Amino acid sequence: MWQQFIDEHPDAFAFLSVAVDAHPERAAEYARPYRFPTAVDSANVLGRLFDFDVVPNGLLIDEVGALQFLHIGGFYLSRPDGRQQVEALLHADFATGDRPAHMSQESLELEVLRGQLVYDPQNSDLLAALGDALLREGHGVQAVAAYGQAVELRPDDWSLAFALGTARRQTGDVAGAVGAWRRALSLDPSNFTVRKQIWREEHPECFYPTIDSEWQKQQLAKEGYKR
Amino acid sequence: MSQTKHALRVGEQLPDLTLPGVDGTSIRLADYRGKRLFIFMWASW
Repeated sequence: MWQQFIDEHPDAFAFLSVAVDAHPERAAEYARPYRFPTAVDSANVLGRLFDFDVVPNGLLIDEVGALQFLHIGGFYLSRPDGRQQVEALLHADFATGDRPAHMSQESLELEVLRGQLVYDPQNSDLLAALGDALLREGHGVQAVAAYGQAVELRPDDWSLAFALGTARRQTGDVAGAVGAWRRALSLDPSNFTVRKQIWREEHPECFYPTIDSEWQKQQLAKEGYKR
Repeated sequence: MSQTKHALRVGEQLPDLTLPGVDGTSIRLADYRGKRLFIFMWASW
């Protein structure tokens, strides 16, 4: 597939295939039918440079030797958007910062995380990081799904339950948010931040337009709060 | 919350690396300067 793509775009770019392989002879066997160059990175030099432990990966280096695109894990030209993505990279004007919109740094982070999750779908850290990135980009519903999976994998982690609540709140699901925050509070009863989030939803009059500190003290006593 | 980080970030310069080619040659990344270079990493395993 790569050979065909290269032949269809003569002079548009240089292409290098790198086998991250401990067996150079096997890599050579795979590479033999193709005309593009193939290197073997048996020492995992690129793996250490880019901090990856999965393949296939794609990266683009611009004319002055700067990294402009990095997709770790699950990078296939045969993906529905794979060909379009590479073609956009070949025509992007990196010198003026005119990177295609769907390849902004934030989108790239999402791509990287999703690619890693293809190979490690039960990794709660990756799911949580995906939830963080999605929330930053305003994809609340997708963030809820990512955090929800992370919570299922680590049900005793208050911070994941808290993050799930925050994401639910962003989507307008107040009851769901409070439910997740209550779960977080049950896991970490001394956590004042979580407790205050719940109060802000259930007793907004004590927070707007001014914060009623006296009410908070009484509420803490009522709830039996102990540090 | 945990964050996934990469040693080299988009926009940063690659060091001058040389890798052995499957045909016995040496492939130096700096030799591609002046061209847009796409690197595809894979494994036979």
